Amino acid sequence: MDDDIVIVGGGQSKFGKRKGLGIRELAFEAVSDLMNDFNMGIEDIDASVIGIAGEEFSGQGAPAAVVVDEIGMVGKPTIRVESACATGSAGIKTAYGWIKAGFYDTVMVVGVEKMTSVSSARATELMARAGDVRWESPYGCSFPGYYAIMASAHMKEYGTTKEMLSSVGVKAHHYGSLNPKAHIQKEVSLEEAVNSIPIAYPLNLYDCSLISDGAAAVVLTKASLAKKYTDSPVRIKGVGSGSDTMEIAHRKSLTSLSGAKEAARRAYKMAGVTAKDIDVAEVHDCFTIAEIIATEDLGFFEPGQGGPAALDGQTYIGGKIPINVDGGLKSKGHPLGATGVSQANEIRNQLLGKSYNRQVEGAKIGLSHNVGQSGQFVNVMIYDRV
Amino acid sequence: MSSQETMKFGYVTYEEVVPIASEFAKYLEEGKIMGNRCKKCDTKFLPPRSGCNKCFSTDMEYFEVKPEATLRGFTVIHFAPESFSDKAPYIVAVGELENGLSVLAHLVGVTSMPDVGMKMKLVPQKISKDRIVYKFTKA
Repeated sequence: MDDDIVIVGGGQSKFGKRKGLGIRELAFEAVSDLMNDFNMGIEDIDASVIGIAGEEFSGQGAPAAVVVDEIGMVGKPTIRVESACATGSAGIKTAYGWIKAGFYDTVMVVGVEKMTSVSSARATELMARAGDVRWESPYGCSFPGYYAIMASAHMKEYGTTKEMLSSVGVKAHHYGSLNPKAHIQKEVSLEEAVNSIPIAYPLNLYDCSLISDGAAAVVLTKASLAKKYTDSPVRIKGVGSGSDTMEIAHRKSLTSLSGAKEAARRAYKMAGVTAKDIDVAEVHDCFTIAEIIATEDLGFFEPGQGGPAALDGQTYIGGKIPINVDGGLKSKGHPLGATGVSQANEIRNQLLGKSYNRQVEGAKIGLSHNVGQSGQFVNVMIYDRV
Repeated sequence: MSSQETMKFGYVTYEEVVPIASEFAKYLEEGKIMGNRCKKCDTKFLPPRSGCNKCFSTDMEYFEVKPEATLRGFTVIHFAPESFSDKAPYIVAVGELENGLSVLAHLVGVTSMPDVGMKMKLVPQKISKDRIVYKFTKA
């Protein structure tokens, strides 16, 4: 349909510890990459949405403006969006809404974060402040800590084991090793992962996503205009969002994210599909337990079955539902603002058959699940070929 | 109270200490864990809030919460945020109290790995001249 919203371009910087590059250089790298595979120029894009989670990492106040300048979008409408780790998908949703509203025909979304210029302890401190600073952060609960609390509850309720958790990290590193843009390109054994250093029990080093620098960009337009930009548009068929309590203690359940279930319900309904129709998914594996819970919240597995399914290889290519076959946040890296945009890029590449040695053959419908904080922001999107 | 005597909640303060937080801390100093309820619609809050998010009334009254709690989930923080680096490892737990109320706090005084479902008590503990917290202990 003419008023469908489609992705007509995507690009990404290498993720990693990118010494010598600030947010502007990272964003430039992503947009340059996009332009390599784009029939039009930057002058053919009407507006920009810039996703950056925090200015404390980069040191730049109002950081979106330097990105706009660096990528040649000065003078055109822009906005900075922030939804913690769901910033990137919030950017895509904003652009989607702008085009649907008729404000602009074609919008670029750039998500970027520079995180490694501060120490890991400092980064942990900054991210912990995304917990409730009045009542929960004053106990020094790190971000891994919040998910570790959920993991302990999941282990008790369903018998999920540390091996099951670690198996998610092993898969992430397997696919990360095949992705040249991943932060870490190295296989890890289950034994290494299970015995790695503890970060926040029951989560070890190989249960936790990376602190990374990186950027990703996409261009959205109306389906009726897509031909100008590309021969192979990918449609955003469904968008759903949800939220949750600020204090983790106030959640009715610690083994599921209610905002993710709500986001999935809305996205499936809008797209007219169910979990069974999804061929490939990007889920927010900020921690291994987060991937297990995501696969349950999204309906790929019954509650409590996400762990056994992961250990059984059901989330590899060839399994029931391939998940995060780009390495995920764990191995590809997690530059906060870029993550949600990078997920959209990976699904786009998968649906276009451009994921090379990690291609899910014949993938027709894809899904992305991007979570901010510990579930306070969730965006789920469903994509297909037009 | 003069501002110098304001009792603060928690090991670290990240925001301006507002009355609802300093009142709560003052009650903790008296040994009481106080939630509050909306007098109009009876919604209960712990920790207390300055207004009700159901009916937007600000007519609130305090009530004392019993200390008995059940462990819902926990973690042992090994790699801590910068301002807690010297305290690790420590246990952060979520415990359920009466009426479905639930809070996050440190769990102290346990010698082996805690078991989700175990019974605990939530007790105020002064940690310095002007700082106080509540902590879970094994019941």
